Amino acid sequence: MVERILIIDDEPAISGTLDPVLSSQGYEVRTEKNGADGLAAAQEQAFDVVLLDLGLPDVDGKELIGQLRALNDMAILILSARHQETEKVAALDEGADDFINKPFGIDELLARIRVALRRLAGEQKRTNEFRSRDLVIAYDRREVRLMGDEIKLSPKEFDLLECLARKAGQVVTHRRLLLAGWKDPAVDGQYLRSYIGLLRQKLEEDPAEPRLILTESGVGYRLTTTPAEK
Amino acid sequence: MRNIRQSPVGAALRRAGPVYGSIVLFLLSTAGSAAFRHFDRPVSSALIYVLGVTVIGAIAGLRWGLAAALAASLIFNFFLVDPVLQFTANSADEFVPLIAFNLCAIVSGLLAGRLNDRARIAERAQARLNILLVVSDRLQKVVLLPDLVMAMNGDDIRPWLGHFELYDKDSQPSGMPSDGARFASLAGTHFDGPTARSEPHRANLYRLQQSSGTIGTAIFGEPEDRAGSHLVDMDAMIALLSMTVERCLLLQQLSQTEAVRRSEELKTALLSSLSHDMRTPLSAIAASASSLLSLSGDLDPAVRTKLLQTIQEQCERLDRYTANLLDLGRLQAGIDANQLIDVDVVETLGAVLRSTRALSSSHAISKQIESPSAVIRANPVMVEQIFRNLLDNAIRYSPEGSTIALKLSETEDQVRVEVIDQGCGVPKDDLPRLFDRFYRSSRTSQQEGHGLGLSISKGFVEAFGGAIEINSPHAGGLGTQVIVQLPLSPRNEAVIHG
Repeated sequence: MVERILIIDDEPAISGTLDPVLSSQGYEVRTEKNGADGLAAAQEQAFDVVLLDLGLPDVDGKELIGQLRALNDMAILILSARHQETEKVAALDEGADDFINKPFGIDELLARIRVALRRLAGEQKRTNEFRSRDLVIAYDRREVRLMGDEIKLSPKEFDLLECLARKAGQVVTHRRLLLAGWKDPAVDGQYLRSYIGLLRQKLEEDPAEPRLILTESGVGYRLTTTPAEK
Repeated sequence: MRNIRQSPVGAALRRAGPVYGSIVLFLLSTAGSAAFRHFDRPVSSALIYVLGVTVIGAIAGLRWGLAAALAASLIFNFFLVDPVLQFTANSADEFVPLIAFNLCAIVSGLLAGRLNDRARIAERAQARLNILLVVSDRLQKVVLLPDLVMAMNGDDIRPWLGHFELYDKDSQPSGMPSDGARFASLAGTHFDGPTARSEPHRANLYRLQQSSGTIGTAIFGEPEDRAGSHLVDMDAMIALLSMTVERCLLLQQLSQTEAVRRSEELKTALLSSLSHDMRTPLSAIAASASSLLSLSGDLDPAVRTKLLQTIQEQCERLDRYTANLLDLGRLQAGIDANQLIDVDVVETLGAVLRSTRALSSSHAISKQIESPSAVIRANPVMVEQIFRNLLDNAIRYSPEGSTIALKLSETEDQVRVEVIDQGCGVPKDDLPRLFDRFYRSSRTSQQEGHGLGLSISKGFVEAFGGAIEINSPHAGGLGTQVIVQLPLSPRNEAVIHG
């Protein structure tokens, strides 16, 4: 099945470049210049991935996210400037799956699209296991193995790691992690920082320079997915 | 400060004192005179009366002195000089006391009166001067119009002058008294002459003028101390106010001019920076891209790759530059202290290190982190930017293959981060100017860069209450050490509850 990508960006230079490149990678690409046309296109035909620019001329990108989400299962990736961390958080809390800072390299974008597509497929399969090169998590048995060795986690540490792993490769906002760990988004962020610190001490080779649980400043955390070697 | 106020009872006593004193004195001298007369000492009897009248003239002034003299001469003539109980003016004994008493009273009264008047004038002048002194003392320190309004409504001025409001020449209020504006409706009132009175508001309006024309309107309400308010020299007061208002206006103009000048300077620097730092990478990109397009058939694969790499590198350079410009804009706009959140510097450094290592493998970065976490109040993205800029600089200005050291340590209430490179260092003359926007050391001006990074780092560090310093050469005449110190958040402790 050919995966469909919808690009909603008012900048012709961006969509003009992405269209041929993504097409060459085997995706079916459609580009729209504003929110209204973008929404109409998504209603007309189902897309797997939407690349959405937050600074559209006609609508607030955040409103569009809710409307797109209501249509069908799709991954929404936000294209945004580095500085707009509050905008990003709002869009992610609104239901976007991930963001990518402009300007981006094509490798980075392709990787994000692959992660998003994999997750879309995984969700449909309701997997109960996470597997990357070094890390294996069995959700049902609440068991974590790092390079084969079992790692003991407290219940809260496991909840947080599961929340990150279920969105592996994509950013998870502070809010979502607080909900997963404490069932309350208003809990002091200090707790979350401390628990992420504990997780890193147990999982990272060098907790001061983490490679598994990455910090997205002002937004949240991201669990890296180096695909498991087959 | 002399106390220029007095209780009303005291004032009445002082006013009434001479009168009662005179009456008592008069009665005493009458009694004394009668006593001496009784003992048949007519000369002493007359002299006592003279003394009494003279003293009364001296303390109570000419009018009372004369009255006393007249009464004394009548009483003396009627009761004390033979024939008793009868007015006579036949002998010298009867004439002379009459004339003497009155002359004495006139002379002493005139002298005393003149003295008294002088003293009273001096006292009034002193009181007027005192109020003016208080006001000028307060106004001297004022540089802003709202402060002027506050000062004039202070407890040491307001009782004498009344509630004070100030309006500029467009009838807009300049500052607000702490108990609110009462005369806003009067502000636009047109009046001829220097002053006007509004009966319904019980207020006086004064036009404040300087050489340049009208600069505002001062409005005074009714003073609490109405008796004391007569002591105020309003002309001098208004002159003083006008001067102060003009000074405030001039200072305001000056700071605006200064701001405009600085923003012009910044614009000029920005333009010259744009022309260099934007156009250089653009030229490289244009040259590479056009070569690839026109000559693609003639280029061998290695050259093509090189050209493509150039395009990518120059794009990254442009990205860094625009990011810096954006940061500069954020700094110009000001950083709201209410938007700051807890940020872990150790965690942030981890993220910066990871991305810096990914971008540049030409330098080794050694790190020495002496604390599991160091939480400060800041903006997380800006903290990242601070250290990204410092590491970028260290990489750019030190030879390939050399080591850059990154150290983090904590004192009681500060986190200290050091970035030390083994580069050529900074010439001594350039050190003080390193943090200037768009400044590039003479030694580095040929290299890529735009001198924005350090000034932005400094701006961010200071916005979070910290400090940044540069030591160069650092050790053995080589390298540069940058030290950033940031105040720890009061909640910098691990909170773990199961």
